[in-house]
Amino acid sequence: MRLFKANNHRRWQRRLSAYVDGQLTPKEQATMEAHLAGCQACRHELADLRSVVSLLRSVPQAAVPRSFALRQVPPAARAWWLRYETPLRFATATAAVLLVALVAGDALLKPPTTSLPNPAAAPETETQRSAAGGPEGATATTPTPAGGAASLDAAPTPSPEPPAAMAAESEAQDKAQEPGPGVTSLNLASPENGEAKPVVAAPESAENLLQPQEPERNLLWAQAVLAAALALLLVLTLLLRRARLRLFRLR
Amino acid sequence: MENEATFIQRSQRGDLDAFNQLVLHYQGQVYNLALRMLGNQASAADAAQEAFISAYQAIASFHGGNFRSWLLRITANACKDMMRSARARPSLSLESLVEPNPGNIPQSSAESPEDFALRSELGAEIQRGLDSLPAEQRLAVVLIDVQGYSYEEAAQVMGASLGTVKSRLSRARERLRDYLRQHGELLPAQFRLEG
Repeated sequence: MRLFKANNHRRWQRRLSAYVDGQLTPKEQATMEAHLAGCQACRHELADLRSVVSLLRSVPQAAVPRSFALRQVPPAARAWWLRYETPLRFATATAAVLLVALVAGDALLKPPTTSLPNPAAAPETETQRSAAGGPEGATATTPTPAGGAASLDAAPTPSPEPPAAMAAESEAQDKAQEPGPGVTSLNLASPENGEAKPVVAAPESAENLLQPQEPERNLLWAQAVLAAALALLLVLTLLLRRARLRLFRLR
Repeated sequence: MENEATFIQRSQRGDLDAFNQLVLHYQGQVYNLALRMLGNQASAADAAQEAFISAYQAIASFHGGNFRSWLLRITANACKDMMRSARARPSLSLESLVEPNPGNIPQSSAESPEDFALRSELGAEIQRGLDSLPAEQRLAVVLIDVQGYSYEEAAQVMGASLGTVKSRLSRARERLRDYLRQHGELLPAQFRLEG
């Protein structure tokens, strides 16, 4: 109980300094004054505190012993590099924004990748093409028999079919498998009748698609260079800031 | 200070004369802060000179605000550096002995020699009390009680929050009170603490 009272009292005494300077809120001040009215120890503390503050405020201002004006620019000491700190920060921020814009723009504007054909289906298509012969030529992207989904596991054995049946099947497949939005398909004109039919991309072409095109490569290079520049600018900014803080010791 | 902003801008363009106008205006405050922090004239003069040199070197990085707080902060840092150096070289700590009349306090013509001596001795005793404080507490009490700056300005100079300033000031005053109670017989009657 006595310890609790001592701790409580200590709390009041810690606020006396702020009370002397009028730094308490009106509510805190009223509470303090109510406490002081009933606590002699705190009143003694307050009197002592006021004496100390009065003593300190009576310390006179000393006259300067001499002028501290600089006679000349301190040799080789002018921190000329300080003037570059702000432009450097601006350049770092600009590089960061550009890099983010490049990466985000690349991600948002790049078209989704085309679904590549099953390599197992390609020979089948070619086989069908050669078996069909005639004007119809190639089939749609994924050869599916009319009325049913193709099983990728089951590679149908190519067998010669009557040309008329092949043509009907080809037309149905064309209609069912019109490329949707965003799907790239190659339209090749048949040499015989000039009709354009979507064709399957040969595996060799698919591999070409996997390699970045020239503009994309340039974009990657631009992003890499910008990232490297940003890293360098960040390091320079941090070094300058550290040097300024050391000069100033503003930690 | 009138035209302070103009002098600052000219200083930032390398005009030493403009900077020296700022020096002439603030050197009293800078020197007194250093004197109360370090306790002797020679160290205070060195710290003040170093503070003005550092301020001239770094003035390009001053982007507006309270120039006095900025300058006093440089001064406080210069004082802390000197205090650290003195601690690192104990043989030099003799220089930090408080002088009988720190700071060339002039004797008033209406003041008797005894009163002048008493006032000088009082100043010396208070300075010894200040010297007994940790650096941050000493800075708080010198800025607010001795130099008369506001809590807000002291917070800017110290680079601390208002709460931290209040806390350091409170502890500094308590320690000074305890110190002066122990040496109370040297104090004039009106200042003697009840204890």
